[in-house]
This record gives sequence, C-alpha cells and structure tokens, in this order.
Amino acid sequence: MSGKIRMRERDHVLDRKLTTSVVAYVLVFLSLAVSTVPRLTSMTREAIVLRQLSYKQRRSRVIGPLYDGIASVRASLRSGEPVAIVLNPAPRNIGEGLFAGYYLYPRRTKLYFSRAAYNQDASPSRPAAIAYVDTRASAEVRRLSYAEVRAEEIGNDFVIGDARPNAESTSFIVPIVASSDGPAPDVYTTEGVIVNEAGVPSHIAFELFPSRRRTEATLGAGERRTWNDAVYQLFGVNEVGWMRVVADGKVRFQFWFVNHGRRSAASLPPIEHAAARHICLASPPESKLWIVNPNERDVAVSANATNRTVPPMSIVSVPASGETCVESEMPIIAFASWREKGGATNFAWPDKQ
Amino acid sequence: MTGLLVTTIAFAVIGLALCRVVGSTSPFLLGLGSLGMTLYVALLLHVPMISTLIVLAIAGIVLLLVKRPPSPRPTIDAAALLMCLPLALLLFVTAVVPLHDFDGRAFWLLKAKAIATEHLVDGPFFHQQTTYDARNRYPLLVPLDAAAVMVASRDLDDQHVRWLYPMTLLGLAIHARKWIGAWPAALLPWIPQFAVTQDGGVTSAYNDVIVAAFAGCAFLELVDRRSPLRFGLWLAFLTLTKSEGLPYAIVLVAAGVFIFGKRIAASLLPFTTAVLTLLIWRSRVPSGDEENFIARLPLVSEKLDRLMPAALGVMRHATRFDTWGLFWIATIGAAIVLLIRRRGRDLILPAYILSTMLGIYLVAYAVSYWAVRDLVDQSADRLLMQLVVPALYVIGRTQASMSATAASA
Repeated sequence: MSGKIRMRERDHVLDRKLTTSVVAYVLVFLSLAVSTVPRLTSMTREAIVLRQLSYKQRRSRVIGPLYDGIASVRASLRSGEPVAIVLNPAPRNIGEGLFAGYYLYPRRTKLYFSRAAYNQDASPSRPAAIAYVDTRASAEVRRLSYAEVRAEEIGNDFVIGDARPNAESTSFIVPIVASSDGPAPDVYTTEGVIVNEAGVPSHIAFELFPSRRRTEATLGAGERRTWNDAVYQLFGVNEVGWMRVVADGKVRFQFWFVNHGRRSAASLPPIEHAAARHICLASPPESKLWIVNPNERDVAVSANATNRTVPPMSIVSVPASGETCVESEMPIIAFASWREKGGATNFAWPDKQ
Repeated sequence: MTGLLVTTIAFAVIGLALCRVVGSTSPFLLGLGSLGMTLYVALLLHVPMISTLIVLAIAGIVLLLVKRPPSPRPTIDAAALLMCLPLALLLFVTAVVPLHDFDGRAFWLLKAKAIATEHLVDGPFFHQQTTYDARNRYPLLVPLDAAAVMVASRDLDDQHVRWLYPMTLLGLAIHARKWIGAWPAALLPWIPQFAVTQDGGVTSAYNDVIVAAFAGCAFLELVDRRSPLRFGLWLAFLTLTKSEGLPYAIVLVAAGVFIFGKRIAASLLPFTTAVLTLLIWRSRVPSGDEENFIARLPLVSEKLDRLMPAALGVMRHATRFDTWGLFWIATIGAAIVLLIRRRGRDLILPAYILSTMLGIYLVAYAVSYWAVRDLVDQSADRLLMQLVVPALYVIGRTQASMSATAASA
C-alpha cells in the first residue's frame, strides 16, 4: 500500500517537473510571440499591399521622397556623369548622403559634408553635377547647380534686420557687389533696399560690371524692395563686381557688403558718379586697394607711384598698406578694404569720390 | 526570383559538396561561408572572380556526383512547423518589401555592389575613388557572397540578395535543432530581434544574423567535439564576417584548445588563413571612419567609470520585452536550474562564452569615443544576437535535463 503511495507521489513530482518545464517553455514562447506576431502580421499585410506594385514603386512607397529624389537625380545625369553629393545640414544627414551614394552606384559619386567643402575642393575629381541632400525639413534629394544650392542655403535670411535707405537719387553706383564664397564660413553677399516713394511706378535698370549683365525691375508706387544676395537675385550669377542703377524717377536706397557666414555687414556709401582723379586712403597692413573704372575706356592709374592700366568698366584690387594715394587720368572710384580679427570686412572710403 | 534560385542552389550545392569532405553540418551555412571565404582569398590573390565562381560551381557539382551524400530525411514535427511559420512569412516579406535599413545599405551591400562591379577587393572603390565608403575596412565575407549572387543574377539590385538573411536564420535554426533540441531551436525565429526589428533582423541586411549563425555553429562544434576542422572553418567564416568576429573567434579558439587538445591544430589552418586574409586585405586598403578599438584599448584604465553604465545599458536591452521577450531572463533562469540540478558542467562552456564576450563588448563600450548610452542603444541588441546560440543551449540543456529525469523515472 505504502509502495503504491510512494509511486503515485513520485509520478506526481515528475508530472509537476514536466508541467513546470512545459509551462516555462510556453511562457517564454508567448513572451516572444506577443511582440513578434503583431509586427510580423503588419509586415505581411504591408507586403501583400506592396506586391501589386512594381519594385520601383515599392521603393518609392517604403523609402519615400528620398528615393524619388535620388531616382530623379539619376535620370537627370548623362551616362557615366559623376555627381557630387552635398549634404545640408552636415553631419546630421550623413545617412541620407550614404543612401544617395548607394542608390546612385555604380555611378561615381563624391560626398561633401557641406557646400563649403564642395566649394573649396579644387581637385580635378570634383564633379560638376550636384545631388543636394537636404534634410532641414524632410529628407530630400534634388539636382541643383552650385548657385542654386547657395541660394537655397542663404534663403530669406538677412544679416541687416531692418534695411532702411539712407540716400536718394535717380542714378547711382554700388562700388562693390559680391555673390561669392571664400573659405568657410565666408559667404559674401550684397544686401540692399530700394524704396519708390513716388506716387507712380518706377522702372529701374541694374547693370553689373565688368560682366555687363543687365536686368530691369519695376517698383510700384510706394513699394519697398529688398535683396539679401542682390547679385544672384538680380542677375542669376555668383560674381564680384560693381553695379550701376538707373531709375526713371527718384528712389531711396542703401546697399551693404555682407559676410553672411560671419553675420557682418558694412554699409556702402551712395555714389552718384565718379568724380575724383586724386584719392588718398589710409588702411591697416594687408589691406586691398580697390579701383573701379566706370569709364568706357582704359584708364592709366598710379597708386603709390606704381603705374597700371585699369580696363574699361572694371574693378581691380591691389595690395595696400598704410597711406595710399591714387592718381588717374580720368575720374575713378577708389576705396580700401581689410579683414578685422573676427573676419568682418571693413572699408575705408575717401571723403569725396 | 533569380536571387532566390541562386541563393538556395549555389550555397546549398557548395555546402553539400563540402559536407562530403568535412562531415555533415548545415549545408547552407557552410556554403555561405566557404564561398565567401574562397572569393576573399582568391580576389586578394587577384584570381578573377568569375573563374573562381565557375571553379567552385564545377567542383561542387563534381563532388556531389562523385561522393553521393546520404539523404537524411528531414524531421517534420510540431516543433519544426512552429519554427518554419515565422520564417515562411519572413521569406515572403523580404521577397516583396524593399530593403530600408541603415547599415545594410550604407555599408554592407554598397560593398557588395562594388565587388560585383569591379570584381576586386582592393580596387578603386576600396580606395575611396568611386564613392564614399564610410566603413571601408569592415570584413567582406558577406558582401562577397552578395556580390556573387548579384553577378549570377546579372543585376546590382539588392532585391536579389535579400534571401541570404532569412535563409541564414533558417539554416541556423535547423542546425541548432540537433544540438539544443527541437523545441528550444523553434524559439529562435520567434525572437523579435531576429524576426521583426528594422535594424539587425532578417529583413535587414545587417550581418549580425550571419555572425550569430557562424558563431553558433562554432559553439555547437565545441559541444559536438568531433570535428576540429569544421570548428576551424566556422571560426574562419566568423573572422571574415564582422569586425567583432575576430575577438569572438579567439574566445572560441581558447575553449577549443581545452576541448580538442592537440587536435585543435586542424582548426588553425582555416582560422589562420582567415586572419591572414583579413590582415593582408586591411593593409592594402585605407581605413574609413570606423573606430579602432584596439588602438583605444590602453585607455581602458581611464574609462572604468563607463563600464557600469554600459553594463546597465546592455541589461536594459536584454530585458526589453519588445525585442527579447523573456528570452534572456529565461536563460538566466535555466542556468540557475542547471546549477540547482547539479548539471553545472553543461553550463561551463556557454557561461564562458557568454561572460567573456559580454566582457569584451563592455570593454569596447568603455573605450569607445561614442557616448556610452548612444553606442549601447545602437548596438547592444545586435551584439546580444551574436550570443543567442550559447544562450539557447543553456535553455535546451535545462529542458533536456528535466525531460531526462522524467523519462528515466
């Protein structure tokens, strides 16, 4: 009798051990399944939906605008044409840049962590075509020119917060205008404001020299117009030069030479026309003397007893330091510029041009 | 579908053929490793890729014809069905849903495309001349396998190579059945981290599933104790798959010395070949922006304060229910049961592997220049994947021990 009881007890213990083992297994399995099943079900559902689409459409659906952008960049390139992948902002979106390289492969690509890095790459391997990877708002890849990338990054941002005119005229010269990049973070732009306070529209002609580009704009009665990168916005180019502005009525205006990357700005004086043939300027060491020849002929110029000829309608610069005097056979515009320690550009203007 | 045919047939044929030489093991995983390693060595010696692939294919077919394999009957039981259910769905998902992971596209399959294009492992791509390869010195075994599939498919599209990853998990799960038991092995494809995570799971093209497979196979060879040569092959594949493969292989070799004794010499030929291949290849190509952990090791004494946050971080990940369920808690529970039941010797090998590898990972976290939390969050789950077979073995031994007691009674 006691033997039967012992056997029954032993069976009971063994059953319990097996049951414990099974329960433990089921518990572990359920703990895995409870996470896996819903996600696997959702993945399978997604796959069933995607199955009706082409593989390219599926990629577009799953990866989103990033893939569409890369596909459109790829379609825009010539066979075998290399492409630069320029990131903004870097390095947060390096992943998107790597994906662009992945989907563009085997096309040769070169990754630049910023527009400045692209601009400073003087190597022959720098591709002309740019795939711009912009993740500021959402992940986007677009085929842009360098100038378009630059304009995109400058956007609507003004260094001069509240641009106000400080002069009035129907015709004036902006002695230096720039839309160009130096070593990072130097991004040179020209900010400006023109206000037509008259009761009738004003037609304004802008001429960029020495490239002799011309454009026109009409300001309505009372209209105020501003530019934060005037050369690019008016002429569609990244150049350094000077600008002549002629309006059919009086307008009020002011322009600034701006280093957008360093958030510095220097007001450019209103100059109606070149009037001086003898100009003296004082500037610190390592300055630049700028000479603008607004005449339609070569002008012989002597700066500190060094002679040179300035081509018609051009702007040239020579090194300057301390007191510099300029003599010319025709009226010219001359001024000096130098970099402050913080990188801001400063100007010295003669009392009278 | 070309990719599926190439993946299943090519790797299985080469693996089955090699099984005739080294003995029975997982044909798919053996094929995956041996094809990748052969291509690695051949391309390092500048043997043309296509010739190597043709020779491998012919050799595989000839070996299969000459040495007819015994036809093992696959066991289809409830545990096998349970194991295959998620894998079938995962195969469907990978066939249809395009790859959208990070590392797979940014690093691994970019290399595969480059190899399939240039047929070189030290060509213009690996000298950063054609595109930016951020992790230029990551080992190439899997990219070489993927490149072989791309070459055979005559297409660089990654859709052809997606099969590698679920097939690897299937191969590992089937192989593990024999050693850790049908039911514990059936858990493997249900682990969320393997099945459904975006970064690291089988629907991605990360290599951690493959590291888990090769490391797992090497571990199981230590359990089996019969073939130091196969053990050496798995170590070689592991070394050539991912950067952490080499330290993992060294940890396994140390155990192999105890288990195989002098027979370990047979392991050293493939393992040494792999190490030399990796070192020579790395000496030929510039580094990318990958972190040099070896160079930072001397900093460990200064970085001890990072060990505890790293350990806590790994623990936090191991107990995350949505990626691991109760898996790691069950492993610890199973280990305790084994100790209570005086089956501590079943625990020695897995405990050694798990603790040593976790220690190595923690030291790597400590010396890294990354913020500990960020690095742990990005990698801990994937590193834990690599340790899953020794952990499953602990669970399997515990279950077997309880069943054996019941059966003997």
